[in-house]
Amino acid sequence: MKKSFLVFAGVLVLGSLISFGCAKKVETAKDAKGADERVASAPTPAPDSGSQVKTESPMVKESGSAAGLNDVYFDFDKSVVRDDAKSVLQADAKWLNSNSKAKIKIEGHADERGTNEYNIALAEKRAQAVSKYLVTLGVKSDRLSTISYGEEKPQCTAHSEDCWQKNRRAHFTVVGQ
Amino acid sequence: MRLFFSILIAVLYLSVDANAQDVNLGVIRAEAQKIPIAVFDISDDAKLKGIKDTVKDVIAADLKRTQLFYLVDVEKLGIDTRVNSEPQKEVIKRMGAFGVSAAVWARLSLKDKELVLEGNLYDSVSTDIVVSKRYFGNENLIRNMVHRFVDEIVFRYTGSRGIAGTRIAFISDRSGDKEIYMTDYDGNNPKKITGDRAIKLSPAWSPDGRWLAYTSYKDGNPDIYVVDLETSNRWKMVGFPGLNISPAWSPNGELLAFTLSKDGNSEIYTAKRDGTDLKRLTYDPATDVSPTWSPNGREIAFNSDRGGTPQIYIMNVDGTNTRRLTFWGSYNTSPTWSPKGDKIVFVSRIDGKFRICVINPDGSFFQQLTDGSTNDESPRWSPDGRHIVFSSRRHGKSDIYMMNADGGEVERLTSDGSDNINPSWSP
Repeated sequence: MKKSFLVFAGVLVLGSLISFGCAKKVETAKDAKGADERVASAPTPAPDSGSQVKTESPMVKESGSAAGLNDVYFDFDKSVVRDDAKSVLQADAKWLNSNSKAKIKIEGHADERGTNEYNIALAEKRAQAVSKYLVTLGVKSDRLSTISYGEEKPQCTAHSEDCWQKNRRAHFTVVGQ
Repeated sequence: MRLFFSILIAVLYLSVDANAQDVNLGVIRAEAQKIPIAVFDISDDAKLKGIKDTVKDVIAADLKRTQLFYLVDVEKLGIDTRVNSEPQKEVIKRMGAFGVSAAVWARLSLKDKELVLEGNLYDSVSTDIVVSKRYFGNENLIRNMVHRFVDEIVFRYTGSRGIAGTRIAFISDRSGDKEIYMTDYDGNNPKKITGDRAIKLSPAWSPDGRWLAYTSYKDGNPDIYVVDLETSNRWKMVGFPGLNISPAWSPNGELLAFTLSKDGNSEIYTAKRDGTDLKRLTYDPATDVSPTWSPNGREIAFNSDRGGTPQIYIMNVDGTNTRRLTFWGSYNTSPTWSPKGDKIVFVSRIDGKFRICVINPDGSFFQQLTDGSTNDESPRWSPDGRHIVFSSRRHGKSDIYMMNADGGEVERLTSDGSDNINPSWSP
């Protein structure tokens, strides 16, 4: 008895679900009949041209190892200067102290993993950490500036740990003599 | 009817044993929630090559993406959907007899050199017309004309506009530089909207769709710009020394929240659209980035590593009452508050891979939505909260994908061979 009631009830439930559209019946559109709309393309600004724009690193000759400044590398999601980076920075500081007029921009970089915005902030901390360390080695802070590119300017584009390590770096450019 | 239904369910619960209860629960939660709908073959008086098929395909795809409708193939039920003019009531009624709730019919014609799409929606039981619209445009706009029609159908059923007419902005390096592009919500019709050749990031639509804020390295530093989509005017909104990144509009469009590092390290600030009335909200030596507003405008969720690892935090809009939202895992970033306020979507590093996840703003109901062998990033909500757009490397290059808010029905929107990142859905 109980079972047959269940089957009956089940059929009723199913039935009311199938006619769900009935319950959801919407207002008729007698007034809307003939409602016309003109469709135009959505507003899209014309791209601004490249000509009015300065390039993002001013036309600076990249120095790198040729000028005696070597990149330093970081661990994933870290901005502390590693022990292996300290010896590199000591050599970099030596070069800076013997080229005392050179002004240096320290670029912070991150690997492609993780959020672009967080990586820009992380890479800025890397550049700042390098700047602070160079100051402790006697380099005047007014010769140093920083910029963060986050993961936007990788020097290595494969998706491997090898490549990612190369991209988690601080890089130097000479921006003035 | 509803009362009767409730009583019936109550009776069922009270009268059944444990096994039967399971079965009935299954029925109640079933897919039957979707509205069965049928689409007539398109009446084509315009006879322009390929247009009829486009209309047919776009109607079907748009209806499916609403997640409201279930497309019934009535041809399989022996109903001929080919019509030369408005369908006869008797045919619509037959569809209704098979349980189809509504029927869609559309006609293409030409009038004074203009292409006209006429669209009707019928209630299949009463055969009443519930939507009847005519859209005037041209061949190039036909997809948009269909999107408008489907949005109208959605409006009739839900009281709020559908998303078929929305667009998605994102960053692509297809030209060799990281420029901003916009496409229709289905990935069609891409348009380039910046061309200054500097790195661009983080496009963000104003709530009225008029402006787009973004980060650009145009002047050699990451600064926040705003472009007026109607006039093409652009201006630098904030350009302090250091970072000026991650813009997010307040729900009323009056303020933007963003990240500046002018005071030494990255902190969250707000300002008016013209850059005035700057207010600092966070004071912490850690990294604070990626603000996102609650839809009631009272709270801001953001990303901070103040606890040692990047996690999501929520604070009041005046910077007080900061509390940590995520506790699981060592990398949770990129929060975005859902349009209805009930969820926050974010990126979590799980077993070494980045996944799209959601959580309730009170910290309950953590859910992982994506899986696989590659990384998924930058999730953003559709304006109706039923979809999430994100970037993924699942096919090699980074591309833009959309999925249902529960992680189902993943659809690829870009496939041009370049890296496409940072999607942002228009209102």
